[in-house]
Amino acid sequence: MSAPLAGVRVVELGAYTTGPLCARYLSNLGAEIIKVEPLKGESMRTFAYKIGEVSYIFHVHNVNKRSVPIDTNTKDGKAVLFELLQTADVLIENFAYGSMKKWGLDYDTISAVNPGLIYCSLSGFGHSGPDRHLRAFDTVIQGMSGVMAMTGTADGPPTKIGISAADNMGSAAGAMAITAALHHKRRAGRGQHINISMHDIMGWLSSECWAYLNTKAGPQRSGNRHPAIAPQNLFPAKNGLIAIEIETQKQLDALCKMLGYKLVDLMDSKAHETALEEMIGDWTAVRTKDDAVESLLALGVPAGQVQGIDDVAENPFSWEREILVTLQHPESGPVKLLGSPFKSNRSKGVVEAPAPTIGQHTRQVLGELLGYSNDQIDNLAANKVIAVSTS
Amino acid sequence: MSELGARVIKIEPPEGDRLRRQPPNAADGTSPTFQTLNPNKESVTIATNSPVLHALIGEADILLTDQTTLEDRCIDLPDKFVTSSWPELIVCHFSPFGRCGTLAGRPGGELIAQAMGGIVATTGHPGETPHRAGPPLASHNAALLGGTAILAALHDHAKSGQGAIIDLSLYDASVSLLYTFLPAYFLSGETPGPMGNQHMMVAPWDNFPTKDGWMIICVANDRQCHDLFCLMGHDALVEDPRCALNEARVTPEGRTFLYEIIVAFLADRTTEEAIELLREHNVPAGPIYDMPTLMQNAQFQARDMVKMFDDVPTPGSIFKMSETPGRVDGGAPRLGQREVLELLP
Repeated sequence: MSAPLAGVRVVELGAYTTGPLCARYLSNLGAEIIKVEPLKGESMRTFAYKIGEVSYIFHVHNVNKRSVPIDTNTKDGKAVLFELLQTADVLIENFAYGSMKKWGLDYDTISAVNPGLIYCSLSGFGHSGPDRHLRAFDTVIQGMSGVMAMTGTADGPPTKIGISAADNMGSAAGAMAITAALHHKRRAGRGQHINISMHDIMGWLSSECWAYLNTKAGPQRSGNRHPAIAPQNLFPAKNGLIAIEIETQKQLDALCKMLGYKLVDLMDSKAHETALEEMIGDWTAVRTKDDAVESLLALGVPAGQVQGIDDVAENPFSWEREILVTLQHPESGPVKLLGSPFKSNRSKGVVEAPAPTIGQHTRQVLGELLGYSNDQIDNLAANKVIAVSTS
Repeated sequence: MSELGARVIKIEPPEGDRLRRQPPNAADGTSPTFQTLNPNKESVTIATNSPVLHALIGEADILLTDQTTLEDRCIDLPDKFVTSSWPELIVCHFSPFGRCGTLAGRPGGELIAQAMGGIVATTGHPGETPHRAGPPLASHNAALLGGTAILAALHDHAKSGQGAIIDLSLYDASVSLLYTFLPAYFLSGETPGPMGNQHMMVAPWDNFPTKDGWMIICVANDRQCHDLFCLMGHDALVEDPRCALNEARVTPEGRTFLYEIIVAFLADRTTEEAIELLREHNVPAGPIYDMPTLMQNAQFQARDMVKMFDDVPTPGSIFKMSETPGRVDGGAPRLGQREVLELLP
């Protein structure tokens, strides 16, 4: 077993979700992450729902990382950061457009020091275009990208996706662009500047319905139904909701036979949507969720329970699949966290160290990578240039 | 992958990918739904289990599959056969529930993945039937994570010469998104459900009706909220115990109290006027664009995010990179546009 990005070093200058999650994904693939945070710690540490004194979300986003707090606004702090960046392959930052330039940490300045560095900027609207100065709030981006207009029912208001979709998708797109840039770096010896826009990504996400732009009604939000194929919807069983999703002719034929409905062409199935949904609803109403789903699966009809957060958390499959994992925290004991979505026959994904305390690895990183002596480190800490964990 | 420069050959059954025939406007056999998903690619048709398929795989660096298609076409590629035939090949199998564990092999697409993966249960409005994320969130997240895993495996291959078989599930890709909801369950035993457009931890954060449509206001802290009170002409609210602090505003009473005040303020203002005013005062706010508006949006246009091929709008590349900019430079292929023999040495 070997993680594919072993040996790749990433410096993360991030806050909240997009940058930290992007770096965490790379760590799941084996990359080494050095989290450079403010001396008082990254802002996400203070959010609600804490384990010990640190927010749960911080624990999720920052597994596998080493923490090196540096005050990059000081001359000496910047010098330490630049030394670190000279040893790095990748820098990830997710500050508002213009901030890095203001701090003297823009791509041109840093690539002059390390031309091989892949510099990935993740921001709400990217580093170009008239809206690039706007602050990134997940809900604002969902609204401005058409995602809200396409989520919800036709007679209800535009609705956001419950989870922070823009933040998340930005992280994943950044991770993909960075791994591609690693190839270019290997071949050409050069890094580059990646600028990912959450607004671009969410607009891309909504593009499935662009096909309807040239229709009379235009793209419409349609609850749980699919605009072209039926039946796809939620149905109430005795003890909760199940989802049924027909995608192929074979599946539709199997469902129609079960219901005693005439066989219909998949591409014409919307014409039969109401009739089929009514029959399915009668059928599910007298069954439990599990019975209904099992019967449908036995016939090859795709079906699944609508799982609440409790169901996802308690379903043994989530743990078998190791998308939920338990990690031992030195102070807080066992902590239930998200695992790695990256699994292969050569690596099941790296989830090994809990999120670091502030400055937990300052001595180790500055000593091993940059050859700093303990005296040098103590001096920098005394002058509030860096922070060293006392625990 | 194609946006990043890979040459992508789409292997279709003789009758073509089923999306080619998916309404709307599918009369000519290549629907716009198919076109928006398949720019930059080449197409060959191969009958199920043709030996040519194996020959073609032998020429490739990467093989992408999805469970539904493989089952539909009775194609079986056991891992042992793959690793012994093509030890350097990187394979990414996309499936709803992955290839291990009790749910492995279950069928499903976007809706099932969102339903089982907690996205449906957390999207919608309190007290109503929840609903899916309109756009295919699970598939797109899986696609990006799969692309990342493939490129990481290629990076490893350059050093080790070894391939990999990646197991990417839509379930994992959905559950990975739940971190804002999981802490409430794991730490307090609550099962959070949909919150509409509101935020669990701060308020006011919602969509509001204006004179001519909707707008979003996202107040992240007390300072922004006090600025909002003042610009609405309600300076006294800054000291009002019902709404001065976030902890009062996030209570059900606090949320309702402020919702009504904001709705009254927006009643005789257009979305555009209101957004301009709020942004002037640094209160985060934004419009809700429908699809035609997004197509014309100056930001989206400036980022070259709408390409036209045969009058079909197709997304531009999300990969804005200084040295290797993402490319979307050719429309979707006609069915069987390439002959298999052209592709083999």
